Amino acid sequence: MIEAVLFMASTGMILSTVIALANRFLAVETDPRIEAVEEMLPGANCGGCGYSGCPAFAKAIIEESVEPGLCPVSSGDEAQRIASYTGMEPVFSEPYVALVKCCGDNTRSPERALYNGVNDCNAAINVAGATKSCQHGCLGLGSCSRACPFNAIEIDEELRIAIVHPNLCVGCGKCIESCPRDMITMVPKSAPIHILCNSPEKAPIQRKLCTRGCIGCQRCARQAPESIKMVNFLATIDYDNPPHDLSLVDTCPVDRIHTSLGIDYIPAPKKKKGAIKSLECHKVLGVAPQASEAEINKAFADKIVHYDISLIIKMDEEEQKQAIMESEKISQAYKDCLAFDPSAHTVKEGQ
Amino acid sequence: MADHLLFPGGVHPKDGKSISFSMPIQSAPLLEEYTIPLSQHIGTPAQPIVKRGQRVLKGQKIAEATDNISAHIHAPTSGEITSVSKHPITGEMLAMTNCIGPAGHMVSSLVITSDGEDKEGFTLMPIEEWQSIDKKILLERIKEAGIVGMGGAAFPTHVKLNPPQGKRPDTLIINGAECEPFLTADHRLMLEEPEKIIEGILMMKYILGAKTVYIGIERNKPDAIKTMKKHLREGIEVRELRVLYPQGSEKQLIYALTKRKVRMGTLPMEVNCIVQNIGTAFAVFEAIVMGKPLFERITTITGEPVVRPGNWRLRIGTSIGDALKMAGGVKDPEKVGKILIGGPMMGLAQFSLDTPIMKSGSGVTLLNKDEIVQYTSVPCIRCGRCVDVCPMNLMPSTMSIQAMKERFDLLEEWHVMDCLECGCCSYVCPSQRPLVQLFRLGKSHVLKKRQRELEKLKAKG
Repeated sequence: MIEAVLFMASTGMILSTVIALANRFLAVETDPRIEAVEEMLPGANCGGCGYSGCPAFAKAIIEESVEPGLCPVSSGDEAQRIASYTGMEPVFSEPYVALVKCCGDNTRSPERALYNGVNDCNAAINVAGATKSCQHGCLGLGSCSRACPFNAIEIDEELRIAIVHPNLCVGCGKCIESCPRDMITMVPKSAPIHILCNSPEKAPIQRKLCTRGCIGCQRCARQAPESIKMVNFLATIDYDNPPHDLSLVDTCPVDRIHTSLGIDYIPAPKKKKGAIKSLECHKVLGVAPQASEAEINKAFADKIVHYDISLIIKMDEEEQKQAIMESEKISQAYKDCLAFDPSAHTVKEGQ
Repeated sequence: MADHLLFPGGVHPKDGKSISFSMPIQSAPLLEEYTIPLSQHIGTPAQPIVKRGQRVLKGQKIAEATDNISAHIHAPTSGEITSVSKHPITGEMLAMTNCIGPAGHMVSSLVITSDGEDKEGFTLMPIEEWQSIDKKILLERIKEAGIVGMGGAAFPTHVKLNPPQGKRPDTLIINGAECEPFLTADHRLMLEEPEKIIEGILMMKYILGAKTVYIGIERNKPDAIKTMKKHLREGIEVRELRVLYPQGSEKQLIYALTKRKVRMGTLPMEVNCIVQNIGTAFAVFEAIVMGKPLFERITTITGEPVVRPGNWRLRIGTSIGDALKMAGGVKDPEKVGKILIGGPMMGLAQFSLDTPIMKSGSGVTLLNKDEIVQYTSVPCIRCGRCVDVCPMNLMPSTMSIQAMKERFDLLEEWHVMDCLECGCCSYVCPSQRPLVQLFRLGKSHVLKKRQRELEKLKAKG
C-alpha cells in the first residue's frame, strides 16, 4: 500500500518538474494582445473580413494594423472597443447585405418541367439547365441558404425563391460563391432601391419567361441616369452612387414596379399596411378581427342562445334542419375566431 | 465462347429494342428550317463563316473549326441563313442565334431556311483508290468532312485517328454493341450497309496502321452478327459480346475484347487501342469515297407512345418536334411522360420540342408516364448492390454520402472523375438514391476546383 502511494507521488513529482521546465524553456511567445482582440471579435469565423477566420483577423489587426471595422459581424461598439484597445482611430465601413437579384418565384416564372432530383441548385443546373423558365433567375433550391453561416437566407419552399433577411445578413459574402447563376451581390445596407432581376434578355423573350423581369424599357435609367445604367437589356444600379429617390419605383411599368424594386422580396401585393382583413368567421359572430378572447366568448354565447335544444324541439322539421346547420356554423366560426392570430395577418409597411 | 467477353459490373435493363429494330432506315422528308448548333462536339465551338442572308448549298461548310480539337459544320440542305442576332458590344448583325441545346442551356447556332431545291454543293472530290493515297490526305479529308464520334461523346475523329508521336496503336475496336436500351440505329446500319461499314473500317485501319480489328457486337443482334460476318475482309474479326449494359463504353469494351485495362485518368491510346463507332465508320466511308461531309445521321425515334417508331436518316439540325412528326406523332399526348435525346439510361431529358438533333444524337426516346418512376429517395441501407454493378469499380454508396455532406475533396480522392455516369448504380439502388446526379455535382465541383488551381498557377507564373 505504502509503496504504491510513494510510487505515484514520486512519478507525479518527476512529471510535474518536466512540465514546469518545458513551460519555462519551450514556451512559444505570443502577443497577448492578439488573444485579447480575438476575445473581442464575434468568433463566427465567417471570413467576411477577407481573412481566413477570427484568429487570423485578430493577428492582422495587431501586426498589420488592419481596421477592426472590416469585421462585418461585430457592431460599432465592438469595433470601437477593439480600436481603443489597439490605440487606433476606428473607421467604420459601410455595412453590406446580400441581395438576391430575382423576384421571379414560380408563380411568375413557371417551372417548365418536373424536377425530382437532388435538392441543390448546383446539381439541378446540370439537369437540362434546371427547371425554372428564366435562365438567369433564382432556382430556390437553397444552395445559398445552406452556405450562409448566419441563417440569413430563407427559402420559400412553395414559391421556390431565396429571401434575404437584411437584419440577419452580415455581408460575409459566402453565398455569392454558392450560387450557380451568379445572381447574389453585396449591396450597401443603406441603399433603399434595388432592381430584383438578373436577366439581360430582350423584352419579347423576357415577357414569356417571367412576368416580373426587367424588360429593359430604360425608364428608370432615364430618370436617374447617374445611378442606373443599362447593361444589355437589364437596368443595373451603380452602388457607388445609389439612387435615393423612392419615386423611381413608380417609373417601372405596371406589374413590375413593386417587386422589381425594394429591398425585401415581397411575395405578392395584397393589402394596405396595418389593415387586418376580417375573415368569414368574424362576420358570422359579428366581432372585429382584433377582438379579445372574452369578446369572442360573449358574442358566441349571445348567438348560440337562439339555437338552444329546448327551442329547436318546438320547431317544425324544415326549421329544425336550418337551425342545426346555423348552430354548427356558429360553433365552427367560434373555433376559427379563437385560433385566428391577428399578427400573422398583419402586413408590413411598404406594400 | 463469348461468355468471357464482358467486364466486371453492369446491369441488364429492359432493352425495348423490339419496338424499332425491324424498321428499315427511311430517308427523312425535307424540312423548312434547320437549327444547327455550333458546338456539336467535344472541344471549342466552331466559328461561323457565313453571313446573314447568304445562300448556301447542301454540304457547304458553314462553320469552321477554331483549333485542333474541334470540327467543321456543314449545311444540311440548300437555302438561306436566316438567323440573326446583334453583337452585344459592337451592335453588328451576326448570323448566329441562340437555341436550346440538348443539355438545356442556350447554345449559339445557325438557322437555315430551306429553298426546297436541296441543291448539292460538295467541294470534296471523291477518292476511289484510297489504298494508294497518303494517310495524311485521308486524315485531312476526315477533318474537312467534320466527322466526330457518332456514339455519343462526339470526339473529333481526325484527332482520335492521329495518335501522338511515340504511340502505335495495334488494335482498332469497332463498337457495335449498342448497349443503350431502345436504340437501334447502329443495328439497322449494320444490317443495311455492311459493305460500306467494312470499307470504312478498312480505311481507318489503314490510317492507323493497326494490326487487328475487332467488331464487338452484343449477342442480342444475331442478324447483325451474321451479316457482318458474311462481308468480313482480312484482318477484321467479329466478336460476340454478352448482353450487358454498359458494354458499349470505351474502357469496358476494350477490357471485354482484349483484357487490357485502361488506367484511370488515361486514354485508351495508353493500351494501344482505338475505339470507333459503327456510325463513324460509315461516315468515314461516305466522306472519302463519295466526298460527302457529315450532315446527316441515322437516328432512332422510338418509345411506346410513338405512332410509327423507326430509324430515320435525319439531317443535323432537325428539331425533336419535326422528327416526331415524321414518326407520325404520339398516340396520346396526355400520356407522354418524358422525352429524351439518346436512350433511357444515358439520354438527356428535354423540356422543349425545339431542341435540334446534333451529330451525336443517336436517338429520340419517348417514355410513357407509367414507365417513369417518380420516387422519393431514402437513406442508404448499405446493401452494396451499386458497388457490385459499377463498371469502374467505384463505391457509389460511400461516395454518394460524401457528396451529400459536400465533401468534394474526399470525392476526388475516391475517383469520382472516373465515373462514366452510366447510371447502373441508380438503376439498382433499392433506396432510389439519385447517385449519378450526386456524382455529376461532385464532378462539377472538382472541375471548378481544378480550374481555380490552374488559374492560381498561371497567376504565379
